[in-house]
Amino acid sequence: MKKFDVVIIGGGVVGCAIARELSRYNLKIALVEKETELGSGTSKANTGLVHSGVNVDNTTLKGRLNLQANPLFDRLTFELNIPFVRNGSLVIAQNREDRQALLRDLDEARKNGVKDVRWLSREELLGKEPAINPDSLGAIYAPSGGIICPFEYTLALGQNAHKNGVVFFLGNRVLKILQEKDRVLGVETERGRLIAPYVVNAAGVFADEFDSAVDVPGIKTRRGQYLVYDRDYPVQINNTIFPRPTEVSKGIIVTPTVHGNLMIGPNAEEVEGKDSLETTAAGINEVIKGAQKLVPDIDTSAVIRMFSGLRAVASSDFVIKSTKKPRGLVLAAGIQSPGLTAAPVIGKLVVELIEELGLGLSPKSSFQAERPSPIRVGDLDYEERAKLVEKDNNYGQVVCRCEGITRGEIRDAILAPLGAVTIDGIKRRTRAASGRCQSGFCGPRLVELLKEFASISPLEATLRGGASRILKYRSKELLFKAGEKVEDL
Amino acid sequence: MEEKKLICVICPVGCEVSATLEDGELKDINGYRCAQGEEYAREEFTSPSRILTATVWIKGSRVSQLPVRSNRPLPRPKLEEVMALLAREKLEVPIKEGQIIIENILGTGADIVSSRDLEK
Amino acid sequence: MKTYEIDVLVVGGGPAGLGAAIKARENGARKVLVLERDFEPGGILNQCIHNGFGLQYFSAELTGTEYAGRFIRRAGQTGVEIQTDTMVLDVKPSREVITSSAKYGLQRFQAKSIVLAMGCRERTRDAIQIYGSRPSGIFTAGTAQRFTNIEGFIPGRQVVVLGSGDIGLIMARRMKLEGCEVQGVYELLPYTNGLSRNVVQCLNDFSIPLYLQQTVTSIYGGERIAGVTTQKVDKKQNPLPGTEEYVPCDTLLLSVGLIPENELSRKAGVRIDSRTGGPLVDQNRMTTVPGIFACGNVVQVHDLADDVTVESEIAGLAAAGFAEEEPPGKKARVLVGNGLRYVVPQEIELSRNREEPLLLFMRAELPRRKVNIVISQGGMEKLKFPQPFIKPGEIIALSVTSEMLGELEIDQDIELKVEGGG
Repeated sequence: MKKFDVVIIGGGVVGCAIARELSRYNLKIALVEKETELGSGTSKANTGLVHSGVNVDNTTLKGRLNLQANPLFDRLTFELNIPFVRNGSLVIAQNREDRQALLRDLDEARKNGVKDVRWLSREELLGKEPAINPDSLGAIYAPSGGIICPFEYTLALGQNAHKNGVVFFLGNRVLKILQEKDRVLGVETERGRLIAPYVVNAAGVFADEFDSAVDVPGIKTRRGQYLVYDRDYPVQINNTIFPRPTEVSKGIIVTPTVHGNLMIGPNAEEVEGKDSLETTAAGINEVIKGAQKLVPDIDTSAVIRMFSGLRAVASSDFVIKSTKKPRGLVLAAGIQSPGLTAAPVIGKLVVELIEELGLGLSPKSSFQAERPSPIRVGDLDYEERAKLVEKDNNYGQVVCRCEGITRGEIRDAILAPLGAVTIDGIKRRTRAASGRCQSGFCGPRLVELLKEFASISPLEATLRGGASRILKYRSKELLFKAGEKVEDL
Repeated sequence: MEEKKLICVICPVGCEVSATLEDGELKDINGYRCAQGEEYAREEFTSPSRILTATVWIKGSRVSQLPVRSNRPLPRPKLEEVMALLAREKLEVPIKEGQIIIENILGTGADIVSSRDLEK
Repeated sequence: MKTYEIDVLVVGGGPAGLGAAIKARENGARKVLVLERDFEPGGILNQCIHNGFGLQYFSAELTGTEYAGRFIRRAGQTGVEIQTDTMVLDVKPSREVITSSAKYGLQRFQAKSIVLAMGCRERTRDAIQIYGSRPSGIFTAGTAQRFTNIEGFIPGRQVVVLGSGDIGLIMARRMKLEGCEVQGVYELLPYTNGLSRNVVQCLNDFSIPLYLQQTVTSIYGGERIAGVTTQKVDKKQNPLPGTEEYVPCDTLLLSVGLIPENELSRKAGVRIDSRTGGPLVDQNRMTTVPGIFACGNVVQVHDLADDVTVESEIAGLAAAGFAEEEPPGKKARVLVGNGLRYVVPQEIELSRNREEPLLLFMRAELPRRKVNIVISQGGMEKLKFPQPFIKPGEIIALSVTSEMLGELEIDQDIELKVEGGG
């Protein structure tokens, strides 16, 4: 039986941000995640945006947190070495009605303190983004809008929390929140109990699954589908392009990623089930049509990836609060958009809520805010790269030819704290297998490297844990009769 | 009497050749347009045979499979039986292309030979 | 970083690169270096354990590995240098090449001429937009072939193959021989893109069904693939509602097309032909950048390794001679007319006296019988090549003799088209 001060359920961006904030204090903290890799749910499949705060309603919690969070990203991404660019966002007026509404939104954004936000005339807009639909009537321009690598972001928060003492239990599902006399006692997991007087539920779409007695709102799942394009796709834009938002969503967006791929999406559809991660013909067509309204030249000629992500929807707003019954439980639930942006502030808010519940906080003098950057060979010029390879020749061997990722980088991703144990884990950390061949060439190599550096045998190697094994049999195994010995092949 | 049909694969034209067989013996054949086609069809109707290509386990090299082939065509119905024998074969490097792995396999007169050089 | 001087530098150690390098070495190039990213030369042929190679070039029926072996040994005998495990990072129009490898670190090469021979890659699930979930168990046929034939692993037991190109057919048989159950080969088009021989020997021999005008439209399964939906398609290849069938499987193999791998060609600044997806080349396989040549599947996706060899020898010979040769004269464009998808080369220098026949490779748009391929200039029919049968799955190679070339006007564009037939 292990004892902690706080147990966090969920290793997505919100759980990891909370863990990092808590790790600033002298506390014993555990984080439990059911998947074997951090950021395997909503955090891995979203638009990767740091929203400027344009078009937010500051009477909502999510709106206020968005406005508070955006300015923090320069420091945060510097400390944690996360790929982040303030590429700017444009909300396009596609007709006169849009323009009227957006001019009102612009006033609102100024009042809300969105930095340097201004109106672009049609000419200014097309001068800035020539690929935009020439029928557009102008746009709100917010230079503070940004793009971030959501995988690296989540991982960096987690790794930094780990460095500051948070204990991670990965691949371990929380079954139940333990209570006694309306007090939280800890959690029951698949692999035993973790005892703690404070529990934070940051379990994303699964936040309502642990105990029906607990006052947790029901979580609905909203699915969004996306398409990612080849980096050589001739249709290119620099800013993140939004339509005027609707009541329920920010609409279908056209954006570059931090790695230089064009990405479009998401649509928004309510789905049953928390594993409904399919793409559908209707959904993908909706995304393409929506994107074409903003950038007419977009087609499907250079699509390298389609995917879906789920958003946890509890109400129209985030639900971040301590529950009355049981005491000791803090919810960070229903974190829909702009959750990725708001996460660092959600972390701070949860710390305050726990303190209010009576947990004494004393700052830890040994807290280290920095996470060193993983070596990214592609960012170096040839001379620097040559020197690096002289020191460690693993950085000389290119494994993923599409993205130019080396054996050294993949080794580092596996051996780092909270390291990769699956093919998707390697991909999210290094971008190996995320290029145009989608692991056709490097797939067999990645299986080998998991064996070499993580001692995962090729037959146990998975795409993303569980039963997602890549290879099921050894050669010739199926030609043996049932019961015949094959292990010494 | 038995009627059989096949598409000739000698060239891209793809002639449809038909035949009449009695007790496995060819009685009548037509539809071919060249001598090579006729020869192919006759054999295909009476005793189809195939080069078998496969791999066997090998130790001591960066690759775990050694590609092998039959050095002449095997009767088509024997292919699965030969595969079962190859599945139980275990070799070690070095191996030279053409080296015999199994001689006169299943008494067919064909040898299974290595189809590449493989060193450490 | 050191700079090394090379006469002919070849990017890629598959059949195209080896063929070009050997030919260059045999024709006077002193220092010929092949850069190969894998741990051994041979390229994709190392996993092509099946036979059917070399019938044209060697008049012998070889396996892919045997075909590669002949070139690997010949490269050794002729003094071609090969650096394996070496990735080319950059090719500049000035013929400077940067490489990275564990053994040699970063290297810079300055070459008199360069031959691009990077081959091609396979189209993926996302490129053809198959919807559904994203489980494991979905492989391009070539990746599954590597796992099976080199690494020693079988992806799964119950296999669906999408695409009836040769790799799809070959892998259907290969899986069957390894003891898997092959549910069927599905083909979007009304005809197969593979050789008839492969349909007979890979599918019919093993009673593997071929479903024409049917495709996979959706994938099921949370962690590992559990099945696919197949659908019939109309003439425009759109799935027909109401024809959905669920086919259980634990493995989906995709053989849905190959794309020339031209990332380095783009860096080198060569023009790409949108029809072939490869560099635009003249009859010597020189690209639009002087001294940079290209051959093999990087230029056009060939059906036969033998044709790759023929093309690579043209490129290797010209690359060896590049330094000494006089600057090229005016080139005529080769225009693609009715009934053809593409023609290689895309430019021809007709002014130069030639003894060797000129080889023209082309691909038909549709299967047709009894046609003529007509070469015309300025609307005037000049040459006519009768063809008993053409189909998109089999490249048409025309040999234009020097005598025939005399019929053509120098400096005038030529057009090729398909006439007649049904």
